[in-house]
Amino acid sequence: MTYNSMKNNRFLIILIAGGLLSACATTPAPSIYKGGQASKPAPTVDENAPVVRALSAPGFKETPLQAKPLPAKPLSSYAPSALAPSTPMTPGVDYAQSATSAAGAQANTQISTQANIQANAGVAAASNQINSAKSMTTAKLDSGVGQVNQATASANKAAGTLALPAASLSGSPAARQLASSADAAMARGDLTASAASLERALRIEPNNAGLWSRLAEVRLRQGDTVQAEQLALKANGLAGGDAALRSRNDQIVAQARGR
Amino acid sequence: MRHFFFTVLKLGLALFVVGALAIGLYATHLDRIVQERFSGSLWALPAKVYARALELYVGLPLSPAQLERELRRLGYRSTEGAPRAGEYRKAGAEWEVYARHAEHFDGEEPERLLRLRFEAERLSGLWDAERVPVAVARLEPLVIGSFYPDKQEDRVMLRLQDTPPLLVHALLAVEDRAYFEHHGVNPWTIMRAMLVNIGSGELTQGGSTITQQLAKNFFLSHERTLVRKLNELIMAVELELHYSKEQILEAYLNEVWLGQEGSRAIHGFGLASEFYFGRPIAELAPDQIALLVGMVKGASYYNPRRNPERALERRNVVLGVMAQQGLLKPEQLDLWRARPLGVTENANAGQGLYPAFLQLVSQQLRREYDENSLSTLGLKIYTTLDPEAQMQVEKAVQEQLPVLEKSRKLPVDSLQAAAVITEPVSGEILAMLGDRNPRFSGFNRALDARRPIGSLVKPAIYLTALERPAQFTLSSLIADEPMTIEQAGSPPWSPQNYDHRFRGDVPLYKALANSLNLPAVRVGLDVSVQEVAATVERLGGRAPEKPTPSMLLGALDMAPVEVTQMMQTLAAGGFRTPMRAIRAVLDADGQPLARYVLTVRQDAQPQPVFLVTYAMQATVREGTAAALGRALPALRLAGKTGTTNDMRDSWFAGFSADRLMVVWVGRDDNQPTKLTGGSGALPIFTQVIRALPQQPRPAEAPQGIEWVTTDLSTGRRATAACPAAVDLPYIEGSAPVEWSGCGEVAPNDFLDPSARPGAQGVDSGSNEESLVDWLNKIIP
Repeated sequence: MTYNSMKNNRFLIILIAGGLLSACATTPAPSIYKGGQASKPAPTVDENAPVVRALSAPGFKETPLQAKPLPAKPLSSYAPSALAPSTPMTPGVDYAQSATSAAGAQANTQISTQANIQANAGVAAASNQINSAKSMTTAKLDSGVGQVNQATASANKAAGTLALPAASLSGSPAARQLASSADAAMARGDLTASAASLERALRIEPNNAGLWSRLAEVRLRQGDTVQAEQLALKANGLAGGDAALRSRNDQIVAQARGR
Repeated sequence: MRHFFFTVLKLGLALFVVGALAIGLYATHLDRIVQERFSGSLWALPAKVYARALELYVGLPLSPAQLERELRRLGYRSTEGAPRAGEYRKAGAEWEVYARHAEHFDGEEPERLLRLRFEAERLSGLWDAERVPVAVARLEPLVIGSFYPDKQEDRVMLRLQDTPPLLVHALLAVEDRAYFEHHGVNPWTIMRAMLVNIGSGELTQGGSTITQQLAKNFFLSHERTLVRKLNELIMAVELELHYSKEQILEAYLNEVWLGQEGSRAIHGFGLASEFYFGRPIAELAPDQIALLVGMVKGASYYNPRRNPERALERRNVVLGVMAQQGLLKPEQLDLWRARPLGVTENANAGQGLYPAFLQLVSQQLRREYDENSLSTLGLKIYTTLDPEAQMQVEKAVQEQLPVLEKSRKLPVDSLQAAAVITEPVSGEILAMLGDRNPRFSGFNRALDARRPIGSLVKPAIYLTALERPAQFTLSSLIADEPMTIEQAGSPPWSPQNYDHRFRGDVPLYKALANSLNLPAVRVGLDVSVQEVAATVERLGGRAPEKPTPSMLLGALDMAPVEVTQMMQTLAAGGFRTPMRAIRAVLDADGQPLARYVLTVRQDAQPQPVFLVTYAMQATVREGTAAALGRALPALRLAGKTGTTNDMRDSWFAGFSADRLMVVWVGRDDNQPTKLTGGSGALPIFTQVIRALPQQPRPAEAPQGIEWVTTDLSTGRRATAACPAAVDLPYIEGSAPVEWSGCGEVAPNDFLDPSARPGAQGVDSGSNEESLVDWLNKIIP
């Protein structure tokens, strides 16, 4: 180590100290979180600092600072178990943000529905012609890349007037439970969730005509008349001798075709 | 003298002011960098790809061994005590599985104890902890891959509140005890370091706080220079000015580098836990936490897989610190220290194991998302892959190909194979194999190898015919006789059966079941080659633009996925469902970006499709795939063999109610394999289907079908007393009307051997390999 480089290093180190001093002198002291003080309010971002959108990456929820301050005291001890590695701690899991909802997808949904109600003198009831273009839900990625969502958007309001007989609930307990949660989702207007439940049920019972008929209804309500018709035909192919279900499917086909 | 003193003072003051100003300006510059970095996404998050989640419900065909394999893939541990999350216990026929909390694209599953009971390879009971029956539950999906950015940093985001407190405390105890007291830099350690450094003139002393380490990792190179140190100090202070201790700590937990696997860098404790222990961080025991904390010092040097002794030593040092800090009971320290490292053998159960399937997924995703979105936005991609089906097909191919090579005296490793398994009703692809080596990620034969399909085209020929019920029924007698076809511009063509034998009149369904060539050509020409080509395309296959008669014997090229699509339409009763590998794509916050929903389109009427399926069931029962029927009679499988010229390609396609599989065996150099569809692809199909849980094809016919007892030798109505009579399905109105007066006519040897006890059919004789399949040769 030469004298010169030592001098150089010393100078730099002095500069560091100077810089730190000047930094401390010109900026207000940050509020500092003292671990373990339960009464300590959530630390705030320095108001004098430029506006900062702190820590928001995808999947990276900004830490709710009021949540669970770290205990300052050592934690209670953890007992090793002889047989299996035990896990003494299970942190509370935040379920808040994980539920899938159609809301996000529907936020920027363009619905093009054209509902014509034609009174038909020969038929007692007016049938709804939901003549809806298969509407495409467009969701945008953060990067600005458009992404076509295959889920068809809903023609909810028009379909609200549909009067179809309820499809019978048959099959295994699993299929019945999924079908009834699909019914519940449909009743509250969440057609995406309803369809998802029905697809799940169909994976369990691919030949359950009642499930196919329900899915046809969901698509009809969403304004996807092409799929509504095809699914109702599929349901009919599996309905066997269930006359009530066949008639229901026929009604779906008729409405989908706008007759 | 005084003058000199003031000059010096002024000079010093000026120097100081200039210096402070320069530093201040520089600090402002760094501050901008710090804030820019934190203003957007902290990290580029690779898209994660998930397999299907296993649904559990009463009646599910599932053996205990299959369940255990699934649990092991997911990193569940067997225990003898009461299970906690991520553990299971076997107690005779009853199992207890403590399922983890799981997020699915269409909802979530709570963490809960499930009690399961098995009976005869089926789930016969499912209850929760209080023995309340559970209708349906699902396990979490296996991660099967990621799309990395160029930097190839991989991580599983971990929130501070989800981090085990013990981990945080141990980390701070080892790395930065005064973390919650200092302002980003610890003046005492800095001072001490400075003194030492000024003395030695070198920067050897560390004393880095967590904040400094984060600043270093985020913004700076890893070289040890004074300028870098200076930047690090300033940036650490600035980090602390703008962000809370928790935010910095959380960033640190996710940023820290904890391992490497090839070009994939393992960042953060969340991923490290999966990477080393195969389970979520919440399930780690204190000794495992200690190992991860110890690795912060040098993840490569203390790599527990490569340097287990060093890692163990380091872990025990950390355990000592933890005990000293009151995080562990001192008297239990030795117990913890005595435990083995407990890292898993393989880095990850699912990652990189399914290249062929992931190729398909990525092909689809790249059509819809740009590279950058895939590798940075933390998308969650839920796919249809069934790891169990995938494992079975890999196993079968790896076991069968060497046997086939040996029996046919082919060079070792000369055979190649491709396979696709789907759920035909939903169109979901459960497994895909593109090479006999399932880890090979190059040429994917399932997707890209177009080969002649041979007799797999015959169902399309006969469907075209059976769609004309006035003209053709299953009992229509087709002449198996010599024929010559005049073609404009080509020499006349005389197709042959392999054995050059002619059988006279053969009922249509037997012609398909035994894959006879001449009847197929005859029927195909009758309905026209163009019509057959149209049917192939209608079903989802690929037909040549200008079809020639040779197409009727399979001179048309298709990739296994295309054959799958075609067969799927038949399996689903004429409804075509586009094949899907992806169910949904969610963004990092769990909001849906895309759902790939089930769609169907009726491309053929259910009745003629049912008739073709019946004939394909006869193929398995008594025809060219009779070996399969003997092996698995209960599934009522439908199938078709395919063999091409000189036996270059061996195909089999078949389906039950909920599984469809297409297998191709051949050689990349297109040399003969000496294998027919029945001897090459069929054994692989049989092994896989035998191992997969599934449901038999329903026996019920769709509406519009009637059953009529038919005398096969005449194609007329008969009573059950007639020895050559069978019950055959007909489209209503197309069944024969006239009675045969059977009994006077001597039964033809070829016809329906099953109707005459003791008779040996030509096709289902004692030979393991069906003779008629042998005939199934293409004449070009």
